[in-house]
Amino acid sequence: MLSRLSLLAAVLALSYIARPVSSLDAPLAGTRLTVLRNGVRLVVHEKHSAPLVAIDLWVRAGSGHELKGEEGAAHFLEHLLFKGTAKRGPGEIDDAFEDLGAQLAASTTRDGAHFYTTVAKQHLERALDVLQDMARNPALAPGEMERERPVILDELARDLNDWKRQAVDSSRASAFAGHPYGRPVLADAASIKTASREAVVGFHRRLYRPDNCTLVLVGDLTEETAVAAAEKTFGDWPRPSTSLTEPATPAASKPARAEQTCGKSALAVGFRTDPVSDSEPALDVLATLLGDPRTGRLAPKLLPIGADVELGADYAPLRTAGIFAIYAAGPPEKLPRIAAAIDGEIRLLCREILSPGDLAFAKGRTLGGYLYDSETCAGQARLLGEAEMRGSYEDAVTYPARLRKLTAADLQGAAKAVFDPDRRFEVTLK
Amino acid sequence: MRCALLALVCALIPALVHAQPAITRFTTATGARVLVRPETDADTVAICVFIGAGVPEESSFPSGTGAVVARALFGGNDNQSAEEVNHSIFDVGGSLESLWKPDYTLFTCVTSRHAFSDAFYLICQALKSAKLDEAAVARARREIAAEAEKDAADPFEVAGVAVRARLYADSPYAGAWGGTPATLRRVTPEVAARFFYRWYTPGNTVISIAGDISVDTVREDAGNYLVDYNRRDARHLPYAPSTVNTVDSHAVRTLPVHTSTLVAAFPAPGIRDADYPAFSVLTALAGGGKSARLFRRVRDTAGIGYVVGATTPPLARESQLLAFLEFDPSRAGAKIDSAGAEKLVLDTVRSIVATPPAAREIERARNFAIGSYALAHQRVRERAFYPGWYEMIGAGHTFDAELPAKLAAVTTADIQRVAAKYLRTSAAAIVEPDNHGR
Repeated sequence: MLSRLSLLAAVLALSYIARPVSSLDAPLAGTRLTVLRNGVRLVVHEKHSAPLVAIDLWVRAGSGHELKGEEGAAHFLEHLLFKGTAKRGPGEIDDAFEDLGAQLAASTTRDGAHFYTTVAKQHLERALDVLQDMARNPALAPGEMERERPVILDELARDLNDWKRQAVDSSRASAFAGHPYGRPVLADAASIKTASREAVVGFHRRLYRPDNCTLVLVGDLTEETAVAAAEKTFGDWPRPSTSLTEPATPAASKPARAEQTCGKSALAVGFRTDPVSDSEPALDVLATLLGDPRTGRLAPKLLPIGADVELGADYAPLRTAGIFAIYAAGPPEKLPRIAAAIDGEIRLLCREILSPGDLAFAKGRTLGGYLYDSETCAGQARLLGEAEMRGSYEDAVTYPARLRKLTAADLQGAAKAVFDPDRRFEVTLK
Repeated sequence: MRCALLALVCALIPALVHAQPAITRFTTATGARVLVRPETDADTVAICVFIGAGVPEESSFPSGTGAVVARALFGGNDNQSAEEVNHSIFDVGGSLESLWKPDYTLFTCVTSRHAFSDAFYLICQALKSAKLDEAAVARARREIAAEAEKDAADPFEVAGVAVRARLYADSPYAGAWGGTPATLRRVTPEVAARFFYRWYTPGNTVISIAGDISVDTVREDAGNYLVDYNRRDARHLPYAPSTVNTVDSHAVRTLPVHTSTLVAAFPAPGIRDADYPAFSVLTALAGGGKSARLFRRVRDTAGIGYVVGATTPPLARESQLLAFLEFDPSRAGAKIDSAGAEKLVLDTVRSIVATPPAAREIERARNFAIGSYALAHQRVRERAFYPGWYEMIGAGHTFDAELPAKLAAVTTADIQRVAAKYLRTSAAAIVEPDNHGR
């Protein structure tokens, strides 16, 4: 019976808007970028509150980069990188980190792969050494691939239990039809069963290169220490002479409706957006206004429809496009009323200027979410790395200032721009 | 190796105690305990208020009463209407949260030094004179019932309830925490008020504050705002250890899902037990991280399950080691069925007795346990939470700073002793797809 910790977010709301400047006003101020000779981008933020360092390696090698025949390779590779290198056997990578009292975790998105850990600061170089070895020299042994294949199938089956995950994937399929962004990151069971070692090796060779990586270090270290450690461990990774190619931008979207089979009856109403831009804070505030299950404007409108309706909304910026979506789960006979309620609130936001109180509250809660995420080294590293994958780490640094400057007119303008009927899609899951 | 471990502990302990002034503990005139940990480089201040009102305190109330009171507490008080309280909550950052757990009720707020007194006033007013009216109680019941419905569809929750009920014959922790729809309907405003006035008393309250705040400010505010928090303390039921069922048990449930979820439970010591540090290391050995036995043997070697591991929920009284596995039973060529999965998980955990771990394996588990503990103290709220929690359950607030050294001192003999003592009996539950989820 847990209350959502995310509400702690709003913590830092109003009481910080008018305060004297402190690190809370710009938690990531002072972040610096160094580009090593081989192209590795090193992003460093000093945070001396505890003797820890968060280490995040981001590679622009997400499912959105998969070519035909490589479906599922990005995520499969993420799993296989843990399974040994030329000089470390299976299990030794995890042993190395857990011996330091840490854990190495990873995730794959449409835009990139992310490997992350937090270690005591004196273990920085040891951790970086293991990380660069697994990124550069994975063994990708056939036996390990066969052992991991059923594990990934289990992961896929698990995702089917999560209606929100299904709604997100369905909305991407609708919004980005024909583009790799439209596929689930894990791909599908057929792709996983037939994924070849050659495809995974080819994906690694093409995209795991120093000039396609960003190393983010946040914690109790100086920029000089960070640069020295990165040079020592990643600096001799040779840069290929071939050039990198960016994936194609998804084709312009058309209004779409789709139906998908899922374990639960749900609805996703969304809009394709342009790539991440200055409007990101405004869209996050709109998501808070609409989709916060406790304080958002939709929640009281959906209550008369039924207490069994679940709700969420988010803005998901990607490197070459974005999606703003509202998700709701409820009995199938209630979905049309839910969709009507959503459309009604969207029209209101386009038509009306928010009151100062409502604007302050929504901005406060959105800002609180950012400040909560940025309280830890790992959270700060993730924010910086995600922004870097989409375009620039500086977007994460300037985010709170851009959010604070938002006016009610800005918000209305953003609503009119994003809630464009020509970019609307709706997916019903049954 | 031991020097390296001690070096690790020495490196991590500052992360825990944040290299800051020690905690100041004082008691208010009416008996509430207050802990203050000033942190000069923190930007925020966290307030954690613990009330000793968990499952055992519901013994003469409908199950779920404690959760309803916690949720309804900020609906208004003698000095402020519900609307005024909501407005005040927003003014201090909108973050006043209530959390109900088997051992305690918790209210948290993270705010700024400038808003601290306002936030603290709001909390103190609620402790003294919350108005648990029909609207607040009804809303709380509705929210808790909705969460209970979600839990009833969560395979891990369903399996967890099943094993708790089977492992201990008479534990207060058995059963669904937070009530059922039937018991929640019996929580009227009158019932809620009786619970509130019985258990929300100064002697049953621990307030723990950490961050950008001074001891003097807290002392002054506590003196002003809690001077009339003076209800008579009720007696808690004496603690009697629960009886462990001596026969392995097994349960099967179905849900409309796509995967099977297995939870296998073994008895475990509570936080106040001298075996707690050794058992924490044993838990890490069994299922903490990807070098642990469960991950290595079940996922890495047998190729079964994406989610596999073990955890021991930290509880004041007895607890359970929960080994878990989630897998797709319908995969073509699937190597394992429910019975096989259960045997594999039980045998892997019990292999700690049958095949005692080598020193190297124990060292990794110790490092993992210590490191995990350090990482759980990065937020100011966490640094307020842990000392307050330990103070509330009777372990003393210094337990927070002492635990890493206790973990570092766990020996091979300790592991073998607690393994032999606690891993004899088990209760397992598996939640399978009912095929409507497919």
